[in-house]
Amino acid sequence: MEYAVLVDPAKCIGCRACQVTCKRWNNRPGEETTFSNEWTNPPKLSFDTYTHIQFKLEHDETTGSTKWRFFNWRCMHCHEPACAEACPVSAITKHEEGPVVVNINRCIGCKFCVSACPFGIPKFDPDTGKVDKCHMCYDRVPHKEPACVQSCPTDALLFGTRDSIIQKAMKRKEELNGYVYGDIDNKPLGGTSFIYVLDAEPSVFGLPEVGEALPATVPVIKYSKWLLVPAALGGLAYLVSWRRRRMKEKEE
Amino acid sequence: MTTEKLTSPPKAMSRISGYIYVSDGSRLKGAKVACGETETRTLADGYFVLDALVPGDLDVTANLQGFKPESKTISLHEGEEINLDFHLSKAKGTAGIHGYVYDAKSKKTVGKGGSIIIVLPISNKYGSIDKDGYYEFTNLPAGTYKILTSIQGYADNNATLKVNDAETKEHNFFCKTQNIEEPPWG
Amino acid sequence: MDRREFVKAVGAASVASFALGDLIKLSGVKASAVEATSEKWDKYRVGQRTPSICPYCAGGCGLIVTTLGGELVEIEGDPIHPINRGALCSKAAATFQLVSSDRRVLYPMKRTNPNKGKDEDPGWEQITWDEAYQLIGEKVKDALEDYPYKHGDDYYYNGKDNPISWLGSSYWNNEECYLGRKLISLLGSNNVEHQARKCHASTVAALASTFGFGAMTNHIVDAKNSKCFLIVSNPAESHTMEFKWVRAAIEDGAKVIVLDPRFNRTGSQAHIYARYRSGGEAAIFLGLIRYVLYEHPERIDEKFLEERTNAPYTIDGTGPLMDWKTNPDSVFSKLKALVDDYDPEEVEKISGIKEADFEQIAETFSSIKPGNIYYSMGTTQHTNATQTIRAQAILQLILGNMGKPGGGVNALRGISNVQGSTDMNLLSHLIMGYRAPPKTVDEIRRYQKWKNSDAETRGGYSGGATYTPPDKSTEQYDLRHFPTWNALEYHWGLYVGTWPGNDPDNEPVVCDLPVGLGNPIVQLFRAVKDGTIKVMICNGENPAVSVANANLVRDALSSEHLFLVVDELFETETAHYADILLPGTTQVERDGSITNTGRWIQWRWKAVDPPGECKPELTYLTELYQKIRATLKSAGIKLPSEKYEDDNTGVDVKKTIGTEEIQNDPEAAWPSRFGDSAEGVYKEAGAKSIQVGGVTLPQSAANVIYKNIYDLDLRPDLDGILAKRRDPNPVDLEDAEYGYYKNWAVSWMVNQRILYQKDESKKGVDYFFTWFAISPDKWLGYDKAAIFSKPLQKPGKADTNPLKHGMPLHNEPLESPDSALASKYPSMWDSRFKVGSPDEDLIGTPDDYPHVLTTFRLAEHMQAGAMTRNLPWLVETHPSMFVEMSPELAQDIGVSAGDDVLVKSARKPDGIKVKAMVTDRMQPITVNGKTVHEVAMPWHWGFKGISTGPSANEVTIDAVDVSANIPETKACLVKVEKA
Repeated sequence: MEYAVLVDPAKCIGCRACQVTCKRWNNRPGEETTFSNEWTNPPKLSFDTYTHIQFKLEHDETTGSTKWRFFNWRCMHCHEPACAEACPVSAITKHEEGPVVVNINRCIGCKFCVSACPFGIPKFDPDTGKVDKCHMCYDRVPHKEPACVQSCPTDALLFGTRDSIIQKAMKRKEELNGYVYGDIDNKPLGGTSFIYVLDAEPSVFGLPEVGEALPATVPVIKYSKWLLVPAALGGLAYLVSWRRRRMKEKEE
Repeated sequence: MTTEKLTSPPKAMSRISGYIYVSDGSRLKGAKVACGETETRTLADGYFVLDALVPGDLDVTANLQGFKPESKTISLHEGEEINLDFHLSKAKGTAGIHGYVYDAKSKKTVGKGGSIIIVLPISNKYGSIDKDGYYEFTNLPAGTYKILTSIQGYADNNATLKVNDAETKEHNFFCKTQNIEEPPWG
Repeated sequence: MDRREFVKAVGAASVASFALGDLIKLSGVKASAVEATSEKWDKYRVGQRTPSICPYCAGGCGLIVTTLGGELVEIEGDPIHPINRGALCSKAAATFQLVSSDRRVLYPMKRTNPNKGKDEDPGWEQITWDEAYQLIGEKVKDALEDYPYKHGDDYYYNGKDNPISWLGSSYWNNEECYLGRKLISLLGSNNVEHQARKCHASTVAALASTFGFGAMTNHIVDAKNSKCFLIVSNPAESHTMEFKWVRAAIEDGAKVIVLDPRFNRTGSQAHIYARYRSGGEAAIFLGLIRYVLYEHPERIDEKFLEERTNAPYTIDGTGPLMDWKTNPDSVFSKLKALVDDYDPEEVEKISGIKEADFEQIAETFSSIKPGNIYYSMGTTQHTNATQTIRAQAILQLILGNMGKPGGGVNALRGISNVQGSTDMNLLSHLIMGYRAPPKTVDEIRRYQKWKNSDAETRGGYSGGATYTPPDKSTEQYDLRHFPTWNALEYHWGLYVGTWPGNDPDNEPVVCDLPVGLGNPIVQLFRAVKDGTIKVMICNGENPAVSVANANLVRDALSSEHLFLVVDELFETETAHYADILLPGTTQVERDGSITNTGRWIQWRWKAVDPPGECKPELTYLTELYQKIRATLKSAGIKLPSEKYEDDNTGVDVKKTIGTEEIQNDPEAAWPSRFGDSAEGVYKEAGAKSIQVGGVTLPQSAANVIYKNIYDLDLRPDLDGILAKRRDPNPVDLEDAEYGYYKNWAVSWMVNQRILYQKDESKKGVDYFFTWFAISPDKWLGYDKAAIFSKPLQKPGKADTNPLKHGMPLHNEPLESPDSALASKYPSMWDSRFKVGSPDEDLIGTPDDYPHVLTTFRLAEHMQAGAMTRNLPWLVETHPSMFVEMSPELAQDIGVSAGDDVLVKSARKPDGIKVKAMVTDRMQPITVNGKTVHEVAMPWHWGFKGISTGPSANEVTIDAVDVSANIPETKACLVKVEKA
């Protein structure tokens, strides 16, 4: 059974319950941040920050009207995740319920996934040498909704079966006269498990144009493992054997 | 927390520490303890530390307004730490302050009752205003005192008075009425 | 290896890596989240669940704490809780980090640095609890040594001059607040204050004098029933779960109007947002009233006004007049005349809201019903706050938006239990349940007469009606307070009256309750500075950051001879000045009840043991009381009734109830007559009916507002503790439609969810009951809301003073940016107390300080930051102090985003240095034809914690509202300059 989360920025009040709750569930530390004029803090996602709210202010000089949007940003859990494709050791898996999960123990820190993701989601941590990102609370789902979704006070995040979420998205799209990103109007990488219903063009929210198919760069990154890893192994084997030969030579 | 260790100047420093008690056994907070130029005050538990003292024959004085000051002389050697306790007793005196409390507008005495407070560091002195508007404090040690009025229906008034031994000073207060509107209840 | 071997090796390696990686994919077995698990989930699944209530705002959201073997596993929203349904705001979401923080104070400590100041390290040294109690007992004894217990022939302690003071706490449970009020009273002092004074004291004064109760009229979930909101607050950030229900109403078609000097997160959800100048609130609401009365009289709910307000009466109480709508003597007509000046043009001049925008706001709000006004600090923290809130209330009365679902004048109270702590009256002018302590010995003599009279034939009005004639000297007044004194006499083991009681006019007065009101907060710190206060016991409050003009507070706290005891979770700015710092516990570490802003009294269950030597507050209070009592007794310092016994050999002061003799024995009555636990204290505060000596007490509950919250007949399974009820199902169709949740916990009074709603609960208190009488026998009766308020009328005042008219007018803040407006609408500032310093007023003028400062809150931080600035998850979101300004102002002063600027005021001429946040959300406004720049600062910062910074209150003004003693924290003049 597939599940999905509907993200509805028009209902979001930017309280950042999602950002804090995620840290709590995943036992991640608060980051040391500095003054941010735009309020977005931490300014970027990281190994320790799976999700954050991006504050987007628009002000019309002539009419004097102001619009302040709060945009919950994180991994969208694509159907055909570029990160999973690119990973040489298959440390990233797409669960059938929806979550795309990094197995930290398997991760070798090669950062292929970092390069592959068109949204720039997976983040590398130099201290641990690993990559991590939102995992859609695969440990809770489907018995319990993701922690961020439970915490959202205004239903800007909703969890349900993919079908019910798509239905809600369609209804909401009509109400907002808007746009669905992740399914219906746009299916990045085959569609995503985090589906956005927007009251304006995706570019207003900073969402990139990503096609349904895997970006061309991904196979390049992916198959480079065919060369790099074996090349490394081979090189190592060569060195070992060379040394043995030398030793043997020495003996002789 | 650790107290900082002072770097030793050429002559080794010495220290005096101890407690200041009141006659009934409780410990005195905020009493001044002085030895030459070095001064400190006691903590809530009566403890004091005089650090970085130049050794020799030293006079240490403890005092606090309302108490009889006490001095002790001790010989302090280089690098020595001496424990010195004080037992202060309440000061008695022969000075007095008295007077009448008037309503500033009507110039009539305030006879409704209220109090005059002499502010002292540990325990204030409280005097009542009798039906003739008269208040009085006796047996005060010489010194400078801040006096406050606290009368219902009037704004608090204050004065600072200096009295010497055997001196009795008169001070009359003229208090303005103040109808404090009570906030309505909930 | 040769080259051939090399190639083979490479090939094999690639096959191997291919197989390793892709085999899983190729096998077709998809990973499944169903079986996937984590360490957290494993523990969470099998852990024990305990319900609690959030410690932050007064929303009253439910928490579920999960523990496993005593270890804290998770704190999340309670999925079945009617208010939050599993959701939590960012602060509540971080409660886990609060409880498990390694920055918590873990053991009692004493100060070893005799000097106190911001830059003085306290030099903490660990001590035992016993040592702490010993020291505190000693200092209390020393301070009280010469404190008079006898005045003439009468035995009592004066409540104002008493050198012992108490601060806090709205973060404490009801039972702890109850015992705190009891403890300080037993020491003979009314010098007790807490957070409520600074935030909603004006609400209590305004709504009590208009409606009867000084609390939020509806409740949190009720927002979903509204069709139009007028929000003069920032609920999306400060009461996030409240906004959940506003959003539910929006889904249902409700319109939202937001008025705020800043475009904030609530503004982002508004259909209509209007910027105004902080300080112009009264003009706005008077303008709205005028709009309805003059432009759209068809929207006036005439039936409501006629039946349920004093609109059809004259201000002398004659009436109801048949022609009240036109008769110039009616209250209605007088109101109409009074608001005539506030046409949209004038409102624009004063507030900066353009005429066209104002008309749109007025049109929208008056035409859509039920309309709901949400307000908070924006209205309450001004020198004319009581009047402005009254204007809000009058608007709602006129529109008929009172006493119905979706309507109301909804004060959003700030801290989790500020409603409860206010109800328990940790205040200098009240003693319990909004009843005053004895103020004069005459009152005590009358009380004795009341006690001597027969309950059946006493006369007057039953139920403690809040009816008061202006001279406050007759029976009707007394009926309000005497039953509470009587209840406290019994419950607290005291004697109040004359002795032996037969001749009340001539016998000596013997009164164990402190006599005379104490010092409210601003005055309290001046009293500390003066030297009349020697001991301050401060629990869970941070006045060094939270009181307007914090400089004065810090100065007072540095006083050489102040003995300061602080009980806290972290080393706060106030703790920095303490002599003793005691480790408190978080709300999930103990049992007790709390009351949210919607008057729901809910139970918190203990979920985890406190760490270190942190002591549950109830135990702390008991041990503290016992130690102080023992120390005082051995020094001969006792209750006045005990001193009377000492001075009169053979006399045994006691009261007789029915056939039983009750001794004056506070120790036996501590903590309560129902046992040592929190439940015991709860029962005492809220008992339904108590029989003593065969007689039912005239008032059984110690706190009259909380009566019937302990009902053994209704829920014997919960031992009668109705706050423990956790049934989220509606009781009937009406409940289901409007969301009363009558079986969830209990609300006051008598489980009424929407105040003043007729018939909602057949047993509830459903009527308005304000005092309205101009002579001792002119009582209009129940259910007449006061548009004209007699107690708030002082005829001798100037015409520009609302107190002359008994109805609101506009008045400028003490520091007004426009001198013309300031002279046309002179400030209501109570000049009793100097502003800024004890010796001279520090009031700024627009020439020196041209910018208007308002203060605000962030969703992620709480009040003085004592908790949130110690939590990395929250500090991450807002790491530093800042001032918000418009791009125009930034350009004027040559500043870019992130630059350091100085914000200066008359209280702090050197200014505080903060970062400039330059944003279009702030814009200049036009006040009286001139451009005025508003700037805004969050007030959460101080010099302790993970994130430190200057405090906004170093700059704000401590001028107080005359009716409520609340400081004008929301509006003052500053000058912002590049640093």
